[in-house]
Amino acid sequence: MRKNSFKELEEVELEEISMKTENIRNGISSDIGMMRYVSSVMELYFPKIIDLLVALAGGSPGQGDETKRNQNKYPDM
Amino acid sequence: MRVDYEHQLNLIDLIINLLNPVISGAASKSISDEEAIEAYLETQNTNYFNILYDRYSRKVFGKCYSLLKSEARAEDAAQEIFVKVLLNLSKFSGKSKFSTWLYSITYNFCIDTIRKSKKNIGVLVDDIGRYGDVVEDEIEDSEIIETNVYRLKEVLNILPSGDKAILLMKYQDEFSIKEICKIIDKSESAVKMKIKRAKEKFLRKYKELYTS
Repeated sequence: MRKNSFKELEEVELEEISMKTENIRNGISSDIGMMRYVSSVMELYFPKIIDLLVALAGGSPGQGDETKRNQNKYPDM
Repeated sequence: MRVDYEHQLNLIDLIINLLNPVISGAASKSISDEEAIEAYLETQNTNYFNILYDRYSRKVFGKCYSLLKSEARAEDAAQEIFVKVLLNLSKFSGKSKFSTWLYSITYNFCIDTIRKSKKNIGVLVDDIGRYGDVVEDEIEDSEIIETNVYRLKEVLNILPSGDKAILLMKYQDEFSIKEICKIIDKSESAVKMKIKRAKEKFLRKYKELYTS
């Protein structure tokens, strides 16, 4: 088999470095946790913020939903 | 009845939680990367992601360290790469091996990081597109890969990062030209030219260091 110093170098470098696997794993978990938290907060408050902006612009929040509800009130008529 | 049902569900949850490390330990030995990805996407169980992490974190960290030349920067980079991978797992189509996909993200991330910190990283990211026809590569691979490992390290460390990266892709990861094309998003002729130039630079630097 042909010698490949690049493969040997990879092994040498991995032995030299003191990898903090658990630190990185914890970092990943906290990053993902933070993203999930932010997205759930967004999911919770984003519609309300949109309603607020609509109200500030002079419209009435949730009007679309109300109209739809009224439309479905008597489906056969 | 309802209380009993909930009680049973709690018990099942408890058993699953207790068995999780056992499941992941056994699974890590038997399941393939693709199966782990599929299982993670279906269940969102992080144990499946941990299997992939345990398999590849050392290599990813090693590549980051080799290119970024700092343990702290490599640690940050490895973390960001795995977060990126986790968020994009659903986009992995399985056309290439998972390791190829992961290493391509690693190389691109490191090259971007270096590009942000300094401009001169070699031909890889600047005017590679202007090279047309491929010139025959006269340097034998053996001249490069049979170098003494400590000398190899010295010479690679003084090469521009772009050249170092492409040599690592070709000789350490043994990527095909087509795979390298996909990783750095360049044409086949541009990649061949880049490899040829990196090899020339390598030998020039080697001679400067060791034949005077």
